Amino acid sequence: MNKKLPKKRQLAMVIDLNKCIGCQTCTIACKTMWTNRNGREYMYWNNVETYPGKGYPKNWSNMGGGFDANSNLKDGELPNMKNDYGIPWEYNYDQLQKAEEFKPSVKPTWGPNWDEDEGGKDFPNENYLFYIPRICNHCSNPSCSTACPQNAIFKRDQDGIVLVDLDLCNGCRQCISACPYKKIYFNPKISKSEKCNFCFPLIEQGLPPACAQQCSGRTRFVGFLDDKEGQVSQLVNKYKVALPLRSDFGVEPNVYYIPPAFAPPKLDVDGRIIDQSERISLDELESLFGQGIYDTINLLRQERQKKSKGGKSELMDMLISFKHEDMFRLDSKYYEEISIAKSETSQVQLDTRYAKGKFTDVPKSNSNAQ
Amino acid sequence: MTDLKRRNFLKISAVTAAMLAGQNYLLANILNYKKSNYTRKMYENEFKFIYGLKKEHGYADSFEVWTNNGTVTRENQKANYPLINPNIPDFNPRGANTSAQHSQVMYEKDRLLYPMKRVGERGAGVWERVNWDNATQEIAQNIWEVMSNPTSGPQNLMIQMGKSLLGQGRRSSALRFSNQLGAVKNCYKSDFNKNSLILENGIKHKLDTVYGAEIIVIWGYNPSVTNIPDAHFIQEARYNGAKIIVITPDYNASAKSADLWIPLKARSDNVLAMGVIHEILQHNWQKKEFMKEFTDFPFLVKVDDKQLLRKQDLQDVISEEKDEFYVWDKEKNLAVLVKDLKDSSNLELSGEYEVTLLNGNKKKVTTVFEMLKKSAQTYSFEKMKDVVGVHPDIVKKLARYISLGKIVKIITGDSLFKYTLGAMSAWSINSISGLLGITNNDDESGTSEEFKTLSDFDGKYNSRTSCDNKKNKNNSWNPEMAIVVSSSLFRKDPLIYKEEFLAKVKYFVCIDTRMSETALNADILLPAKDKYETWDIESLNTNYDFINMSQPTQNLLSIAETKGEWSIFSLIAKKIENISNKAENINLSKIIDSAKYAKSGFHDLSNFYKEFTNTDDASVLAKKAPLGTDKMAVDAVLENYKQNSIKIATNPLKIKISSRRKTFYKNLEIFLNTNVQTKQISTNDGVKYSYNFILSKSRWSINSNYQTSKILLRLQRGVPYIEINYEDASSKNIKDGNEIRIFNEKGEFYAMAKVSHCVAPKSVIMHNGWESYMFRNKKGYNEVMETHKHSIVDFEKVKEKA
Repeated sequence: MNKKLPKKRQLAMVIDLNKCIGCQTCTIACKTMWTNRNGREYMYWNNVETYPGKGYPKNWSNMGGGFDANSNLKDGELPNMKNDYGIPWEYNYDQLQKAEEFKPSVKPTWGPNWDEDEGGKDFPNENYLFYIPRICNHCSNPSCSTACPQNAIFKRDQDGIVLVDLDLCNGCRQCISACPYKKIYFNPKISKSEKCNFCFPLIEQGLPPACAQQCSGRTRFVGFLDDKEGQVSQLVNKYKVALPLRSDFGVEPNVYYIPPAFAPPKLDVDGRIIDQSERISLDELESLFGQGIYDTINLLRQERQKKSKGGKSELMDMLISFKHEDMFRLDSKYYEEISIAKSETSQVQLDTRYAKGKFTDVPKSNSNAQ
Repeated sequence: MTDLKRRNFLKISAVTAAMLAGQNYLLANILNYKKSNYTRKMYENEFKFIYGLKKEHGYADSFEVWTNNGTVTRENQKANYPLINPNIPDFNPRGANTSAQHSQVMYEKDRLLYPMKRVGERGAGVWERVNWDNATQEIAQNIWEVMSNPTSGPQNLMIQMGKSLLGQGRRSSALRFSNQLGAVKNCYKSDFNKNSLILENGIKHKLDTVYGAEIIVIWGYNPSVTNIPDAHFIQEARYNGAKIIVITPDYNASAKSADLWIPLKARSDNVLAMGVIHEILQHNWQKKEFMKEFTDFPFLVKVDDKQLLRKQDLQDVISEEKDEFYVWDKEKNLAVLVKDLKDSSNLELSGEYEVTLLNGNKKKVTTVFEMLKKSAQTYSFEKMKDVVGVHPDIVKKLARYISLGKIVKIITGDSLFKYTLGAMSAWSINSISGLLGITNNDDESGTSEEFKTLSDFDGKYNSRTSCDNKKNKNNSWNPEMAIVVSSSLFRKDPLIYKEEFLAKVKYFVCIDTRMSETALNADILLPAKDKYETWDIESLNTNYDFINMSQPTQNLLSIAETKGEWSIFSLIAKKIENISNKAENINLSKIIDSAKYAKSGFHDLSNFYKEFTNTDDASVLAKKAPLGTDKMAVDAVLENYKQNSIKIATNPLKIKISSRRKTFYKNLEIFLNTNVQTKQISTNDGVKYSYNFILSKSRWSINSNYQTSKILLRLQRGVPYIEINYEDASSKNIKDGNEIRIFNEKGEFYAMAKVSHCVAPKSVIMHNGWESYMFRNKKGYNEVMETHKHSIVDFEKVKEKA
């Protein structure tokens, strides 16, 4: 088996924006897993933004970074703690029993979900909103890594997870300016950059990242792009319904989104339904997800139409995911092999539910009973 | 793209970067953790710390809870619900944002740690730490005094328990204690506000059961926010081909991906529903066979007083006989009792008839359906446009969809029915279901059969509610002493309730895990154990058919002097028994009560602890499971499961009333006076203020539970905020983030303005759950509330201090 192992593989995540209800259970999952301590309090390795909105950090998409058409790094800005992230406030819990007012330690001015549910355009005829969950895109062409003068940011061969080597990081923050998604954060306590690590300790034990496993809306698929049996590969390559966010940044993200294809029709000035109208403008979706948006949305609507007429649709069934565990194919045998090859301590397989993958056969009793 | 106004330091030269880019690729491959394992070890160590020891936990959802050194570090959904039906998605990973961060609030500094006694004014926050022995002794003495005083009694003792975080296993401790004493439990919040009609009978569904529908109407409900664990079924139903229609005044997380969003004006649901009925009747789309067979639509009603025609109107009856109703038999051309009807196709749905009463007088009667038809006629679409704010075409479309769809499900939210006269909306929407034969599979929430073993005494003692008291007009709600367990009563009810409560209740005990507005006003505070520290068992039968059990890990460190509810009530029970057995008290220890609450005619306090723990002679003889701790309670339920197979009722039609039909007609005096099914809700007539104040459930709390969570507050605005429409904001010169004053003739409060494109003009939305101490001057939204969910207000910008 060793011989067969490819030199490089890429894990990817697909997030279905039609199913995302903005509950932020993913944000909480990530927060309690990694960022509720040690100078990371203001960081949201996973956040969920209401679109349209300024997001987190505020106006991140206008802060530059990424590559231009000639593969040169573009200028980028460093977000400001007070204005763009918002200082994470504390509270006087211990004063409650003394009948004091419950107050934040600083006046809140911005935060990770400040423009939640505000939406845009005129109420009620054309106002709209949807949610975009964001993590580090674990890019194939990571500009953070390119910008790092210490070469502290690297991409793992075995799964393409992009990590910061904290031994090498000297806290210069050029990676933050260079990341067009502003998904690297400066830890003021240790003076180093930190970011989403795709929960690699979980991945290596056969478990999906916390944000994906705990997603109450069942929106996230995780698997290898070269695993043709897997949903991730099929949604990205076969059906082409999963598209990267702002591919124009030139960093080749590995988080893909099923774009919002369903929204109520717009109303005219008298309150009549405007048939075939797009409450979420396709131009706007194109600016987020590229030109693939038109085919993608058509396909999603056609397949749904099939279902509503009593027909079958493999794509719709895949997006429904009858069994939650089928959303993750973590190829645990593959990680075991890597671990053995590196003569590391043997891995303990905590959970076999998500074991399936290109290099991992699962006995029939464990497989999907659909 | 770059905003030049921003600070723009640390720019990288494109040339340097390009150079770096080339080198970096090579270096990264060489490094790849081989040189340095620092990062890897650090994150792995953190991971190992957090994922230390695991325990099974489930209250409403199945969770894994991780501990290290006796402290809970984290939790995650276990995602182990079995797939019940291969054609319906499974429930995994059931859980929500709030439950996924419980570990982060259980060690927060608002946790109650020791029993405390008030030594200042009520609510002033001056406490003295006391020990459990003295605290429980004092409580028992006060219970004894209320119970044994000839001018008061069990009806003057109120015991109330919250539901949000207590499973049935834990909740039963207070329930058992209360039943045994004959204490009063609040049944309806409307007890204290005579102006509102509150019905808690929305059309509920377990959301997995709507998955297969063709049309799903979500009316006055936002499951994506208020039912996060199950909301995915709606999204998946859409992929399965269902058409989703959302009817809400605001554009929200459920409306955003609907096929049709109907932005009706707040509180006009009743009018919209009547408009739909009007359209259904115009097209004759109603399902007549269903109406005849399963509903009260053919029932006869007296035209003059609008009362249902009953058996006693036409025949001599024995006084204890249950109510029986009449329908009009087409063949016999006379009124026949429903139960005597052989074939329901013979009955008339419409028309006006004459009957001869017992006293020989003639009386005109009509049918319930005929009355509905007449009232629906007045709901012209033109009238509706102004009142409802929705174009008639949309109403027609809605009526067509739900009348002609093959499988239609209508789901409504609880909040809808809590508005002033919201019951009217409930019935009108329910009537649509009755006309079209749309059924729902709701189950009553409350104590399921299997849990009764904990709180029941096999009929020896029965529960008393404030509704029982209401029926007896001489005995209105009059608590002298109250024990409140994990419930923030004062937060959720209008101020009038808090004031009345504090004026009447002379001794107020609060048992809770954390400080709340209610706890702050207590005379004595007892610190309870939290959900990860106790045994508990819960079947959340309103949401799904699973039963969850939780148990604490063996090595979990106890937090200060906290105790589980069962242990607390056992302690008090023991003290009550001791006091009762004193020589001077023993003759008073049998507290006389009606046989309805105490079969033998009295509550025996001299045997109180033994009865509470099932260690009295009769219980021992009957081999009843011993009780007294949270674990014993769970064991007793599990034993009950072993001995009795669990009954799962899957009755598609919930038929409960004496007529065995679904009822739509309400002829209670209060409803007739308000002209329930026909009255149009006025649009704030004669009110000085013009903004509908809408209080809706929050994504960020379970009522007031978790409202003070730092992690969750950071995902909001950090302080109480109120959502206002962008045009209203602009007309009042209010910018997002400004502090505003919200006021009406009742009072005022302050909150941060959140300017939104998804809130309708002339309305403001506030999420419920904010405790009043979170607001400026500790005055919360209850200051302006008329009923529990509704008020009319105005607002203005607060001048900022220079």
